[in-house]
Amino acid sequence: MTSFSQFRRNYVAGEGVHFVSIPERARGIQGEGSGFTSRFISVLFDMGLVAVGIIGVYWLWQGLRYVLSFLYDVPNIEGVPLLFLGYLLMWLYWAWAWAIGGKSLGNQLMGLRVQRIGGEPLGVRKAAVRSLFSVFFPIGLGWVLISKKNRSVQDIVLRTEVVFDWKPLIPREL
Amino acid sequence: MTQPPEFETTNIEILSPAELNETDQDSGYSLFDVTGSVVSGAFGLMRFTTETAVHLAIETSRAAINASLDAVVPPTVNAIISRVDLTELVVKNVDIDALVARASIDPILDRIPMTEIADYVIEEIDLPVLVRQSTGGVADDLLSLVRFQAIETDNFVSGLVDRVMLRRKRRHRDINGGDDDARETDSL
Repeated sequence: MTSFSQFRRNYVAGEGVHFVSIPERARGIQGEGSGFTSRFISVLFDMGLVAVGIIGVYWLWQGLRYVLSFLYDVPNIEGVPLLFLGYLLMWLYWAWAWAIGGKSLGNQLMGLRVQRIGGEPLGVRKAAVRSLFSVFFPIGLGWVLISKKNRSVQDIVLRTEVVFDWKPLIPREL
Repeated sequence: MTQPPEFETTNIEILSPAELNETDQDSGYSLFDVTGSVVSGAFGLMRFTTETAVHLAIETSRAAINASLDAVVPPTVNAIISRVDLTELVVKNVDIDALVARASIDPILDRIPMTEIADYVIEEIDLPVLVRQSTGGVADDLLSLVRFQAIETDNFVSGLVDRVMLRRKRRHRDINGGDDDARETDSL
């Protein structure tokens, strides 16, 4: 309990009061490298999102085919092209999400943020490259288990890291 | 030209200087005149002296009284006041509410830092905790639960790996630092 005069002494005008909405137990780990489980769940979540999206696209396409089947013969998309579409969507989604704030929805769920080593934001190009890397080489995440600093193969190659950041996302302009 | 009006004529004797001298033969200052002058002069002098003396006396005594009052009154009053509980006296005899009701509030309020007080209150009642508990409480707690469980699993898994790899410095995320629940019940 601080008295009002104590508060005034430390009060810097214009700076406002800092509210920490992060639970106290988690405050100590903010900015620390996160472990395999959190990141794995986050990746699974993002993949699930994209999968749902792809299934949605598939059914939309099927509906469109059915409607137009009386007039045109719309080609069916199945198998490899659909998979490719999924990869594309995953790549675009991660690139976009990491570029605007380092947080995909999966990352938000687990309270993680992707950043350059040291804390700088990724930037569009690095986000795109890292996203591509993660899409085609998801196994690279496994290195987190072994790495002393909780780095995946992608992190080591691209000099990035994934840290705990439970603060709400404030997207930045691209 | 009209006739000049007729006046009643009186005989005026016009005396020659010599005759004049004759008539004033025994003038000059009579004893009576001299005595009158001396008496009135003495009376004037007496009056002046008396007035001056009285004035001087009044001024002198006034100064003397002032000086002695200056010397005597403050210590006396001090001595009296020090024996009286003024606060008690005021509390007993003065209607403080009426006094305060007369004071104008605006200049007082102008001196009060409202924004700082508001910020202080918000910080002191820990508004974020209140908001978390009231609105997004359940969802947030669930989210925190998932995150904490993942972190605990991480600690377990990475600890296992570190042990297998015979590392001295093990990876560990400390999430037992603060006692969140205790703090939250404290602030309510």
